Order: sequence, then structure tokens, then C-alpha cells
Amino acid sequence: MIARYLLAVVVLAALPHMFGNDSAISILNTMAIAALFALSYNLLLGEGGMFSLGHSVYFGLGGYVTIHVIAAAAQPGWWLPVPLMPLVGAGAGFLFGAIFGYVCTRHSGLAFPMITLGIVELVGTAALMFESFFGSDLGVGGDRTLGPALFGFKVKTRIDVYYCILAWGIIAVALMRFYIRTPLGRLTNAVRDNPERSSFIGFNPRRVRYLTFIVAATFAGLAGALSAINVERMTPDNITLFASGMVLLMAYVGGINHFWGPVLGAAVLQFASSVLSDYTELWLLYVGLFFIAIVLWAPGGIAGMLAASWRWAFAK
Amino acid sequence: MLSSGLTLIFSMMGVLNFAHASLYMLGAYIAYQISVWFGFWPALLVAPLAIGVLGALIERYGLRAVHSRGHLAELLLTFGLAYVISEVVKLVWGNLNVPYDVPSALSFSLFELQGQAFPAYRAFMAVVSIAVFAGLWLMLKRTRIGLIVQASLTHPAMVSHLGHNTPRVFMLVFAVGSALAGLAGVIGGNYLVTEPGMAESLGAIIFVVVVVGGLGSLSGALLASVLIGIVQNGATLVDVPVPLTGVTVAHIAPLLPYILLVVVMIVRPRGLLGTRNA
Repeated sequence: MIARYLLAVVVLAALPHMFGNDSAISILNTMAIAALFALSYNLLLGEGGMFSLGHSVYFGLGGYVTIHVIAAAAQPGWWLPVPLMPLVGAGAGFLFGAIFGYVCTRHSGLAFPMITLGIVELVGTAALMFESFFGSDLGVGGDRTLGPALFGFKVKTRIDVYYCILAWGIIAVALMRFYIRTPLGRLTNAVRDNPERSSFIGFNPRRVRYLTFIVAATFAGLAGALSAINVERMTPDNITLFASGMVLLMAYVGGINHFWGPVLGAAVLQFASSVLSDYTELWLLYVGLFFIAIVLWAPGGIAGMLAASWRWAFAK
Repeated sequence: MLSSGLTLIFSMMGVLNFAHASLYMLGAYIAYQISVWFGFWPALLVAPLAIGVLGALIERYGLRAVHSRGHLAELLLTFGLAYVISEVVKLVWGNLNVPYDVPSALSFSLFELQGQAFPAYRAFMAVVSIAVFAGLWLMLKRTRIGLIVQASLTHPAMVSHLGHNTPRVFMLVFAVGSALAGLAGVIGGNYLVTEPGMAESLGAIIFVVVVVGGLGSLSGALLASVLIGIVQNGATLVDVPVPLTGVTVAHIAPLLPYILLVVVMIVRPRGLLGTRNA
């Protein structure tokens, strides 16, 4: 098992060197960030049964706080190096997750998506109003190459960004995988499957949902921070229903019942949005149709289909 | 007015339908197309019918297939549909507004109120919506059909044991709800603007109204929509600065429905007139 993970890490580390050109690396970067974001979303949808439409709020706010910190790092005497700034984004995600999550997780079932929708509209509309923090349509920019180095490492080129994302991605994925194996993670599953019974055995479902919500928001904030480092800009577009819908599509298309499903979904949809959109303006229509097909005929998503064909091929 | 109508249909259908606002948009576009070919009055009749048929098809071949997997799958399906409908609209009619105008027979001023002209079309909209809702209300509350519909929403198994075809009831309810959303698009699209973003701008407000009013409560939804309308329009007149932000109350008026949502969720989680906790 450990050997398999090590192999995966080696492959991932070698990946940018297999593609020579810069644009491939930048697609890899956005894919990796989307994968991390989708994994954090799946803590809600897959593990907790919480259908959130507001997950982009934590991604966006984490990114905004980070971009302001990156901009501040240009001043002399600044001590926090850019490679450690995802911690700032995660902190922002944690904070806002704790605030908004308190309101959202009072409900489960059908009211939950509607309240998260209300929150994303609230923050998204506010983002267009308060330009001092969110910037205008162009958003807020920052220069990742400034500020102190971390043990001589500075995030300058796209490959630097890739390794920065990879390092934080490995940490975050390990933590998320660990989280769903803790008693709290197991309780999250229990609350998803039968909230009544889990409250009978002494666990308050609302509290369990709330804690999982905060954890998911924290990792979304981390992904947002990595995005801020990657594109050196954060725009109000990041906090919209559309952005939340995309992460939902990624997680669901990939497969919400499998830990690695959202990674597959993120890779497929990011590929569609960056490559397919060069050929046709209708890529979103195809994505929507594909999504409906998955909902109707393959609720396990791509991961579910792969697992089923694997069983079919090797079943005796 | 428009959103309150949509909200009522929305609560009646018993399915959380993300595509509801998209059907409203599609209704406006189809009405535009028909009014270009044949004029407004045929559009008033045909467009809602077309949307109703589409709604029936969505229910029959989409929602029914995933119904056994629970609400989440239904919600996801309509979410995907909202994407597809909005892309199809952009594909067929383009990214810009279409010139869908109020019919000339109704574009005169009915009377003047304090120097402000009151357009006859507004009166027409009010009459149509009130007639539709009075009819709907009577049918749901006073007839045998309404009884069966209401019973099917709360106790589907029992109703089908009594010999009614509940899947067909659901299909018809969904079709009628869709047709009414289409009708709202027909009479609202030319008064407002018919453009590809119209579904999104309305959709969020519908959700807020339904949750604030209380899930499954028709009168709660009506109350909430009136309340939100008053708060939002009233706030645009208040020129008092909000502390700490440097803007006035009028400036943040678009935020107020969502702030109201959050406050209601904290103070009264089941919504204003909701009877059950979701």
C-alpha cells in the first residue's frame, strides 16, 4: 500500500517534466487545485450527505485573504514566505466555515442546499459591492515572487507553483483521508445515513455536521490560497453559484462514493473547460448533458464505472 | 409579484426544482419566438402548453427514474437540467437580450398616479396572475382533484392503495407547475428583460423566499415574498449609512434578502410559517 502511494508521488513529481510546454503545466496546476477543492467538497456531499451550493465561498474567501497577504509581502520586513501562505487561506476557510457553517448546518435535507445558496449569493453580492477588499471586476492582484524565501525556495515559475501545490496537496489529501477514518469521520457517515439513530446513541447530528462543514471549508480555503498563488489574482467570479456548481459537478461526475472519485471528476472537467472550450463554445452544454447522464444511469460516477468494469473484467 | 407566483407553484409541486427558473426563462423565449411568428395572444396560450409538455417529459423520463434514490438525486437532476436549458437558450437565441416587447394592444397608460403613468400591461399581469392563483387555490382546496393531489404529496403509498395512479398525479402536477412557470415567463419576459441571465437572477430569490416562508407552506411563501419585496424596495429609499462599511442602507439593498434568510435561520429555523423542521 505504502509502495503504491510512493509510486504515485514519484509519478506526480515527474509529471511536469513529461510535458515540456508551459501551458500544459498551467493546466496541471489548475487541475490539481480543482482536485483538492473537489475532495474537500466531497467531505460534505459524499461523506456527510450535505448538498452544499456554497462551497465556493470558502475557496474564494481563502483566496482573497491570501492574495492580500501576498500583496502585503511586497513590503520590506515581511516574515511569512509565500510557500507557507496556504496556511493563511486554510485559516480563513476555517474561520468563515465556522461562522456560516453555524447557520447552514442547523438544517439537513432539502433546506441545507437552499441556505448555502443564500450564503453564496450573500457573499457574492457583497463581493461586488465592497471593492476595497474584493477589488472591482478585475479583482485583487499580488506578486508571488516577492517576500522572503522558505529555506531558499521561492515560488517563481509555474513549475515552482506545481511543486508548492503538490506538497500542500499531499499534506491535505493525507489529512482528509485521515479525517474520514477518525471516529468523527465515521460519525459523519452515520449522520448521513441515519441522523435519528446517531442521535439516539448520543451524538448530536447538527454538531457532527457542523464540525465536518468546518473541516471541508478549511481545505477549500487551502485550495483557494493555492489558486491565489497560481494565478496571482482573485476575482469576484470565484464566489458565485456557478463556481459552486462546478465543484459539485466535478465531485459528482467523478464519483462521490469513492475517495478518489472527485479527483477524476476534477481532471475530466478541468480538461473539458480548458481544452474542449478551445474547440466549441458549447462545452458547458456537453458537461451538463454528461452530468445528467451520470445522475440517471451511473450514480457512482466515473469511479463507480471504473470499479464496476474492474470487477466485471476480473470476476471469475 | 412574479417571484411570489413562482414560489407558490414551487411549494405546491413538492419537488425542489432547480430548473424552475430555467423553465420560466424558456417560457419567455418560446413566447418571444411565437410572438414574432404569430403575435402575442397565441404565444400566451401555446408557450405555457409547450413548457407543460416539457415538464411532463422531464418528470416521466428523468425524475421518475431517480425518484427511488431520494431527494438528492432529484435535486441533482434538475440542477443539471438548469445548466442544459441555459446553454440551449444561449445556443438558439444568442447571448444578448431578445427584443420581446409588450404587445401594442396593451402598451398604453391606464391612468396616472401622482404624475406617474400606470401601464395597462401591469394591470394585465396582475389580472392574469390573480386569476391563475385563485383558480389554482380553488382547485387544490375545494375539488376532488385537489384533494387527491394534496394527499399524493403527503401519503403517496396510501393514495395509490386507494386505486389512484400516483405516478401520473405527480407527472401532471409537475407539468402544471412547469406550465405556470412558463406562463410567468410569457407575461413577465416582455415586461422585464428576456436574456440568458434571467433564470439565475430569479432562481436564488425563489429559494430564499421558500426557506424564509417555511418549507411546504403556501401562505408562508406568500408572506415571505411580500416581506422581502417590501424590505428590498423600502431599503432603496433609506439613505442612512451602515456602520463600519462606508455605504448607505440603500446601497446594500440587494443583500437584504440573504441577510433576512440568515437571521430567520438563526431565530426561527423552520421558517416564518413552517410547521415542520426540514
